[in-house]
Amino acid sequence: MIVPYVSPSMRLFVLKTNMFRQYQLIYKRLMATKFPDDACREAFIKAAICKKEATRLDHYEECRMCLPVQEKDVTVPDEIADLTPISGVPSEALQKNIAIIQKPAKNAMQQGTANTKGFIMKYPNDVTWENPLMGWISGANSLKDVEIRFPTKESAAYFAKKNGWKLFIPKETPKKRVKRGYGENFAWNKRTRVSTK
Amino acid sequence: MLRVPLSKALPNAVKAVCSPKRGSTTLAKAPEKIEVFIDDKSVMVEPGTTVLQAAAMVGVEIPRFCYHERLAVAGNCRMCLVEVEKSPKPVAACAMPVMKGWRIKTNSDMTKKAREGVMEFLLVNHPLDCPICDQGGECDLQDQSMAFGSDRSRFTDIQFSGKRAVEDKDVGPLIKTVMTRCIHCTRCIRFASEVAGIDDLGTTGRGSDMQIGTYVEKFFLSELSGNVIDLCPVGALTSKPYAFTARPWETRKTESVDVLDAVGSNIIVSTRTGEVMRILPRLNEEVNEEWLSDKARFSYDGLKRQRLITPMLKGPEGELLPVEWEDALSFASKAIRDAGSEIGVIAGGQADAEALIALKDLINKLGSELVCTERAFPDDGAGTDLRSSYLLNSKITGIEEADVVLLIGTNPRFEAPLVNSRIRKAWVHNELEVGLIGPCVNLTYSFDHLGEDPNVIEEVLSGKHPFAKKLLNAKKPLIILGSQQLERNDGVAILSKVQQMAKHLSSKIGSEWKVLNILQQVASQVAALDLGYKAGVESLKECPPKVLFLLGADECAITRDDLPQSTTVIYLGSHGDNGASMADIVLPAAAYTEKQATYVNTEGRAQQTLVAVTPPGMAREDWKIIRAISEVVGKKLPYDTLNEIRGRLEQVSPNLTRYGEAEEANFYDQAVELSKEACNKLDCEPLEVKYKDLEDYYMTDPISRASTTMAKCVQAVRKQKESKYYDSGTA
Repeated sequence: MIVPYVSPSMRLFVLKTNMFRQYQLIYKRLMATKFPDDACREAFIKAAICKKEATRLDHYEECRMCLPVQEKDVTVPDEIADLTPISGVPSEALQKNIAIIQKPAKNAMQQGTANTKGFIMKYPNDVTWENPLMGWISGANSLKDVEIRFPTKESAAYFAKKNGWKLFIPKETPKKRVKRGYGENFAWNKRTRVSTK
Repeated sequence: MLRVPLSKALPNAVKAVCSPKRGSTTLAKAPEKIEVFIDDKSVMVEPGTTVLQAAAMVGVEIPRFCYHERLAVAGNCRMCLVEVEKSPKPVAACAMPVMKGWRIKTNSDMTKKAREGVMEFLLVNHPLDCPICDQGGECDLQDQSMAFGSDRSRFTDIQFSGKRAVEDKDVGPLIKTVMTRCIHCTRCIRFASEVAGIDDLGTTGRGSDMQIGTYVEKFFLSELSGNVIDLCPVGALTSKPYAFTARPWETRKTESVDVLDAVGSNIIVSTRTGEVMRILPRLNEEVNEEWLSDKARFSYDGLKRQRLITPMLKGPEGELLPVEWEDALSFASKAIRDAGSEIGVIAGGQADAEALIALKDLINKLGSELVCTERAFPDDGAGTDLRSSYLLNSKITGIEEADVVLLIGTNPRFEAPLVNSRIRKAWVHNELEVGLIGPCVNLTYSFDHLGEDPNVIEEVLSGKHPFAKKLLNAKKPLIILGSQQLERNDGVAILSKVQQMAKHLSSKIGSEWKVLNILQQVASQVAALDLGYKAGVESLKECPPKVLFLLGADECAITRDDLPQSTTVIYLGSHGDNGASMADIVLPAAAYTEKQATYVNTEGRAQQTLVAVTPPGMAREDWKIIRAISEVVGKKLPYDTLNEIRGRLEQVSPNLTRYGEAEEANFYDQAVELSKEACNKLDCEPLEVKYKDLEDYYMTDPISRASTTMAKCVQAVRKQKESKYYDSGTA
């Protein structure tokens, strides 16, 4: 594969992030375009790579964030880039789907809270039907299986806005801590006294 | 073992001796916080905090089986043993209050060894049947044995007597028991006696002969019984209808809202293969905490039965014949066009706000104002113009703060089980006093029964009744009026008296505290009234329209006999119930698990359901059907997407799209002034409630009426009544 001419620092960056495949498209367009001079060519490459880089890097960031990250470590930029032209999501999907951002609900059957940390972004279910071949459930919306985890609500909202999703963020209903003591079971004048063992 | 608490045995004596100091106005000074160290992390806690709670504050989760935040501390499983520096023995974290400067080690060798020891004992007496256990995959014991269980067993059956085994119990049609799996955490016992208020469960025997059971052979029947399935940390208590149908990792979970009563409990709908497999509660402290009533949890099989799956038209012999959507829509539209402005609507108990607004807009465009709800509400005075007259104004959480509650003409236990569990919670923890005007039913807590005569309301209002004194002395009194009383002929007088009473009490307190509360019975009522529906079908009975549109109305508020022969009845709904059987045109719609729709609960809290499964057959979302009809009729409604129709909802009543928020109501005084002008004569007829007995609770709406599980519950209650152990006083 011929690597298009880029400045050494840029090339190093590309090599480092191991994203050659991402650049095949850019390279094809590069080959098909005639440039008046080298500066112009360089500017084009820079713009194309930066654009692509933005998506890739964000994705990388978000993957990294799935690891236990302290909330305080996450900063969300004020400026929101618009990635809809290059994200590859069809505009009908953007129109139709609403991204729901919420804390994952605890399973009522268990006491542990391990999977309820952070925030999850997902999309509502869509119409499904029984597949006539096997009787399995088919659907036409591949987004209904997408669930992305984020450390904070803000970082999730940033990702969603950047990608052009409409948002729905339900009100949080945090758990209340109630003070309970063993002594209440034996209080002689309170209704908390236990009657059955 | 069978001790009766002193406060129960001597109710009056105890009260007289030690009534809590309610009179004192000085606030107790907040106690100074003490410092403890959890794994060398410092944390400041209030004195009396347990080790386990202190650890939770810094995000350290201590393994436990018997401890549960919403139940009394039992301290019997010993799984939460932790090391405390300078203490010779490990301490039970769930029951031990921390002392100043304690250094707690939740991960030391001693702690680990203690946990491993406990785990080994538990596993010696626990069958290895995870592969055939319904709890598999969501089992606390399974998870914790991965961390603390040994990979080999020291259990050798030298006598060849077999592993410990316990006979299973039949506790009813909802809960499946496999008692050999029980680890004796006693959570179910504590739930039954503390939350459900039924002292049916308990233990017998000691050591390895200990058993959990009902002492005598009887069912564990309560409107909240399903919660013990969630509480059980192992697979001893599992869901009978869900048995062997799915594994938790195979199901897709959808966060939704229950609509079978007006509480709006938050739920998770688990689905697989396009079917609802089960419904579980979702934590929402403001609504249902983490409980769920049995009707909400188990009536999901009603979503698969008695469904309307194709549009239908009445044939020449009066039978309903399946047709295509095109025909149904054109027939419906023709009838509507011919009727002109003589068209009316009755909205049933499970109609969502989107359908309600779409239908109202359509009917108004046709020139009619006859949009009614099934449930009546007095129209005189302020009527439904002021929201405060039809909401549970103090919110469900307000009940926890209250010190005196007066229930009028309601049985919250069966009308809204989770409101009742809040009242019970306040009764247990805050020494709440409860008064009841209405039929003397069992509310699972003690109360003063003031009588069934509505004139008692007048007596309490005028201060003649002894209970009036308690209300007046209360700091945070609450009056909860059942919406059913407002359907009486003297409904307006009852509402007026109650409003006056509430005004009198709140003027005495002078704070923001809301005294007046109306407890609705159905999920759609508040949204319908917010959108400007007329409550009750009187106006439709007076002048029957040419076309009557039933939006899931199945309670027979209007029967075929009330209508002239020529009236065309169009039924739009999910189930083939009473409404569909009297209809000429049937349009199949989605049930609450099949649409993204807005519901407003009795507090005025807007919440939305999400699509968990697709509507069966040719059924479609309600508002989309109405939108399609409008197009064929030629009065096209100006919204095509959910967002647009929600924009319309917001135009009419902005609170309907503020999901999760309960919008405050206002104008209490004005409502009182307006209602004073209305008729103020109370009837002598005693107050009546619809659901008196557990038997009446299970089947109340099209979905639960179609549910076989609910039918089995009714059967079980009847069977229980024949039992020699049945005691009507405690059931």
